[in-house]
Amino acid sequence: MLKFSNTIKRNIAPLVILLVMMFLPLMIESGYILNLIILYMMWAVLGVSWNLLGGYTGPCSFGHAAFFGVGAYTACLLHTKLGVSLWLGFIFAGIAATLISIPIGIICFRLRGVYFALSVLALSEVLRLITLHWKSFTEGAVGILLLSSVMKTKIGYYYLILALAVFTLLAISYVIRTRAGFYFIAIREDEDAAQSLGIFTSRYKLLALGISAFFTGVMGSFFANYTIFIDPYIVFSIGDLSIAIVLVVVLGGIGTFWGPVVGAMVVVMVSELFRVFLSEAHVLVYGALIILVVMFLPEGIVGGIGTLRHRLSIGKRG
Amino acid sequence: MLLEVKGLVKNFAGLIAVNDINFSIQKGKILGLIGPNGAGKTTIFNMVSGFLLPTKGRIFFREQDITGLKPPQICRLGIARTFQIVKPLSRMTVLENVMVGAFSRIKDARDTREKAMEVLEFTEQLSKKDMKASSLTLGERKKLEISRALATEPDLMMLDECMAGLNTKEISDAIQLIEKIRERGITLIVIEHVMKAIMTISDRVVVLNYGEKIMEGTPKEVANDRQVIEAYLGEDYAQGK
Repeated sequence: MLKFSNTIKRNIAPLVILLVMMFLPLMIESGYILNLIILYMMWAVLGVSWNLLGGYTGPCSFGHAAFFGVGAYTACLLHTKLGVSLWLGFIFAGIAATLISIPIGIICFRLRGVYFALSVLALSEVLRLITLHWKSFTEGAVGILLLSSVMKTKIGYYYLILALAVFTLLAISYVIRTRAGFYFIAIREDEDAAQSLGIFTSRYKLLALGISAFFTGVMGSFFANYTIFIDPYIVFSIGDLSIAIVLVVVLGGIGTFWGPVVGAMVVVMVSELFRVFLSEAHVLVYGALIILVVMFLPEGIVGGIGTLRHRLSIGKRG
Repeated sequence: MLLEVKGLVKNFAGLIAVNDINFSIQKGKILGLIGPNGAGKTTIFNMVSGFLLPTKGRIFFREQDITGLKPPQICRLGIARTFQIVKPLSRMTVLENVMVGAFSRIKDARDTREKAMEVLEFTEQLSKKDMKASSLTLGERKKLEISRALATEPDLMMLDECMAGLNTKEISDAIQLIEKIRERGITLIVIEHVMKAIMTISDRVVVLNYGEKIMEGTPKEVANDRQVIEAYLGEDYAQGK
């Protein structure tokens, strides 16, 4: 019982936020704002998933759209072609994304350096071209319109993504506290040292990739259900997905647990703002933001706050 | 014999870094590995620990052929190493660094933490446990390499210049620590340039020069050998000029 109350005390801030999030739809009437919050939560999950691989373990992916798109198409095609329930589609989407990630991991993680980053980018482009041209199976550029979806209302989707986000955050916070989590960070810090301490580094990188791809795939199927329409340009987008995910994490604080959750908020707001004035050119803003963050806030918002707090506490002691 | 190295050769694109090296070490002993820079000492460590594949020759650990095994497999068999250029897991704390080592034998995070605390107490680094590895001094980083390697519960430890760059006090601490590790029943191979240290702690010394073994014997025999003096101080000195 004591242990339980301690756990609550330690996690008081996230619990308060969760409580607020649970009652938020009762206070917000604007469907537009609700839509932004739903997208925000989806981006937070995408960021947290990317961060497990790129932030904690090290390998940087510039093609997470591959897993998002595979998830979206898996759920939709299983439903339209085979009549598989869209609810089950969430799980199949995750599994399919993980399956597609495994070969690329096996091939690239033996090598160090940029091979993985480039290969996964290539993978997402190849998948985009396949879905674009294999018209008999994927409908090509016409895209897939879902005639039914898992929720009837926006509020329904709000609670669905809230549940998915809470589940993902809990799952990943569990993973990083186990042996695997320590191993991920050790690999990021020094691969030779990690190997000398008994870590099969390519295996653990593959595990991080598999988990990361799984949740990204689930988000792909969520997106498909929510917007009821997908096409290859949307779900395999380099700028609007792969790069934006990296931006969410870098902006919020790479390798920090809450970084992507904060970063997602900024990215969703910025992209919404600039989409209005700049339409397609809003991707330029992402580039500018990355440059600004690297120059002035290299540890991201959450990392920067941590350093600042550390400095202040040293200043006080001195 | 705990470790036996037979006819070890390593070629780097035509350059012979290690040429036909044989040596062995008995359980519970300390073997010193000395020689001028570039003599091939670290290359031997890299081959034994699995980071480099030998061009020729075999390595036996407890009579088992371990040539060509990968570093994590070698670690799990019971051979640990430290790195000459220290490789701390910088953004982890000292305790977490040691926990990563301990995880090679234990799965549960809480037990691992306990094990890591024990190791830190043994190496007298417990007071530093919550410091980030990046904020340690060189001497403490070298010690952290040893703590981390110890946490993998090795039977054989290979220390690569763990005293280079340390002050006199730190060197005598390190010598004491190595003695303490040996008392635990752990066998050691030590690469070192600090002669005073190597001569006090080693049971036997192997001397390398240009990738070849030029001498093996007790510290005293080695110190009086003409070839060894030549390798270190030059021919002129050896001939008394």
